[in-house]
Amino acid sequence: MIEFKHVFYSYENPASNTQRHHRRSKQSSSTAATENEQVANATWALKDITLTIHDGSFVGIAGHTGSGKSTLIQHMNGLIHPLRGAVYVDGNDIAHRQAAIDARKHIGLVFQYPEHQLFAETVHDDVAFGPRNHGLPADEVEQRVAEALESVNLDPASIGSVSPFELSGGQQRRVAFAGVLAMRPDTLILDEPMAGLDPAARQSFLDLIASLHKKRQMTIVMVSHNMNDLAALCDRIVIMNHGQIYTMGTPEQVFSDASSLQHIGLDVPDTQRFVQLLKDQGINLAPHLYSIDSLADAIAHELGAASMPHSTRQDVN
Amino acid sequence: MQTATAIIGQYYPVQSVIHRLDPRIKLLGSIVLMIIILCAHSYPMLGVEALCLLGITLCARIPLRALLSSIAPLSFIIIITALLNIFFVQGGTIYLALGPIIVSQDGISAALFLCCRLLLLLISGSMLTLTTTTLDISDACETLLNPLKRFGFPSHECAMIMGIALRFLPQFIEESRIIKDARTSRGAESPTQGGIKAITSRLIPLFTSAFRHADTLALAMDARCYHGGEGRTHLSPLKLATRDYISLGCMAAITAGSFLIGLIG
Amino acid sequence: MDTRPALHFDDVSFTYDGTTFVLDGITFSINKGSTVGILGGNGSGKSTFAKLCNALLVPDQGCVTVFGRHTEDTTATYDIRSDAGMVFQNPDDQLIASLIENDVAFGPENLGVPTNQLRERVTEALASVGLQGFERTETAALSGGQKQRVAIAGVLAMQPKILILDEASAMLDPQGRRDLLDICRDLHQQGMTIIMITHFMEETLDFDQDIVLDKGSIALSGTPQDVLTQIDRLHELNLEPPFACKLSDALQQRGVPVHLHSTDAGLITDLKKLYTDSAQDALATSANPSMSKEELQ
Repeated sequence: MIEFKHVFYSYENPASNTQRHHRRSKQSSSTAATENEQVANATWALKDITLTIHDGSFVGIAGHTGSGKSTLIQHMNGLIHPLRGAVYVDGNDIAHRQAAIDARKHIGLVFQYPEHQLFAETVHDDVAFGPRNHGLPADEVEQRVAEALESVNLDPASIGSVSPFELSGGQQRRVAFAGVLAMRPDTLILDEPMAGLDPAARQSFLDLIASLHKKRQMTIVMVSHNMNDLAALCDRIVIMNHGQIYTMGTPEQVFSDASSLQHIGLDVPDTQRFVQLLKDQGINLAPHLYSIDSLADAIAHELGAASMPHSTRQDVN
Repeated sequence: MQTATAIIGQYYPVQSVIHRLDPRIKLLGSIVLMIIILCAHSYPMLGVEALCLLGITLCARIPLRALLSSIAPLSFIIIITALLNIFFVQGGTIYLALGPIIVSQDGISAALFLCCRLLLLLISGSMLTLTTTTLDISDACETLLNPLKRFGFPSHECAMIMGIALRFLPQFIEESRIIKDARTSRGAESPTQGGIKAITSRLIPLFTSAFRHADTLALAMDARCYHGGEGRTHLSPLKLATRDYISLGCMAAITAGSFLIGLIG
Repeated sequence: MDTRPALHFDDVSFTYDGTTFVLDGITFSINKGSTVGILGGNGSGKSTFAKLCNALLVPDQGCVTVFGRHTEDTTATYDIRSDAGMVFQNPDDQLIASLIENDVAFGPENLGVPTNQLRERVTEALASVGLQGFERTETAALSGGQKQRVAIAGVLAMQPKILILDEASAMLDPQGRRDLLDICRDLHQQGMTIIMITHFMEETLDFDQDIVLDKGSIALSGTPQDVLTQIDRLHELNLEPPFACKLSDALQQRGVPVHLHSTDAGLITDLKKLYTDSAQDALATSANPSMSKEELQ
């Protein structure tokens, strides 16, 4: 479980890098007045974020560029630490160095374009980097590498000894992904995992993520611009705007009001956009979150209902 | 690119006399300043240069914090030099002797002097990049090196290479931060852990990304009809204004003054 | 009036290694002032196609002409490249200078445009992409979408007649993508020929022509409405049909008599008509109960 409690973060504050060591001592010495001043003056990348990510959930995070999404997820495994407030992983404040190290063992973070971070001579060595850092015995490392490559649908026997730089872009991303899975995380944080992929590769990646969530009960936090994906996969969605949580809830709650998301420059799922267009034409559908099939059902029903209200009207007659 | 404070090699966009100076003057100026600082062998002489730099910083309207943070990434050079001097320069009173490690009066004073000198060097270098855009610097290089063209020196190409290097510097700093973060996320606990192997493995992604950038950049330059310096025009051709002549005069005065102080002191 | 096609491919083949053809015998024309989408999954040959358009590559067989000029003709290379400007995928990789004005001026500087006209070109180009007043801004401080707009301005400053966008929106967020499309729409209205290479089909909905490439050949070609409604074929080609098309297909399967549409607007029109018709039917039948009984049976 990852909990954010009143988290503030600013890139502008020069103290932010060293802050981890001072926060506790400062809290007691500094007066409330100066802290409030701090809050008022700084340009916050994150501002008063309180949020809980439960085990086994699939949380989507959306927001336009610079809304604080990336900053938010970097807090989740202690890469950066809040200036005020705290992040707890399974109850431990990860501002503590050891707590952050422990958290990273089971919270895997997949960066945007992770294939850009490949470095080893072979695919095998690249995937083995994480487990080796954790000082696992050689046979355990082997086992994990094989398992991780298999879970991203790559054949460890044939691809293990190949240089990662000889692979296609999509395969490289799979290898990078396997490098994180090899640490056997129970939580995966994904920063726009499908960015730059073509539709076919996108779909297979999406299926992979969905199956990790369903079959292995992994907790997934996914940053994405694609609202169709978020609506289809997530059980909770957090919308960020200007470093704050703009709205948060189930996809149904978040997407039921298309206009408020469009207001801050975000897309809504295609189905919801279409419901809105129908509404403008006087065709009102119930405010659900639709898939293409359920939307087609609803429209078919609505048209049918308009042409066949006879029984009720006849009764009136 | 979310850091608001300047980093080394990054332009600090404000309007000031120094920003408006001809880049050739600024380039020459910082070279001259660096030479004087390198030649300085006494505190008074360093003091004069420090005052000069302070004056320039004020004129350039660059906040002290931005200046300091722009040289912060290179502070390790100062620290290493200081340590080397403390340990290897011997003489005078001995303050501390732990086996082979001897800290002496001469060692400390040599370290202190060198630190000041290096600090001023770094500041004069970053003053140039803070107040001058990379393209201006490379243009200045090109025109200053143009006389060498007669001897077959590729001055335009050199300037272009430099301009691109400076343009990509902030990007590479950002990328190396991401690489570091990604490795930390995969259990690499400190950047120094693992010795040479760890360092090379951090450099490899940086190099592959450099080649990737180079590939597209080359295409983009080709697509925009780049074909070397021949027949190229300039958006803002370099032209010396009155203020440039005045600053040339100031530079000459400072140089003369520094050496005078050097002679007296 | 220039009647030559803006771009003409005549039986063009290209290979990087001499054995496998990335493009294989492609022939088509793009008229001046039209908007054309070039679609295809990874490995379809669409990037190679882009580079052939402005002499970054020359064909191994066949020929490519831009306003009648052959791309093999090395004396015409710079004319071709200034006529057919190109914007690339990665916003971070194509800006050459640190300051926006210097970057925008880079192209015309290379063309030897006199200094007194350069300033004007930069101002105009930046205004066309909605970045007026950004002349002295650092490129590093911009968002991805803004960087792509600067890249377009850099091309516009060369006063091209064709704008080629090689997956220029692929790395942008939705807002950046919308801005990019809006700019293209404006430029098209001013007479620019737009060639958009993409795998987002939605971006080409209001274009004049769509061409789908597959393994180096033209798999589909025609108006977006014709091309984008071929659901099964698009899936085979690893492409995602537009939403309206998927929905109209789902509606057809449920017996709702709509046409297959590529655009939301088209489908909405159909549905609106059905809705009013059925409402009128309902009124008519409720006024005449005997008929409705027949209908029910």
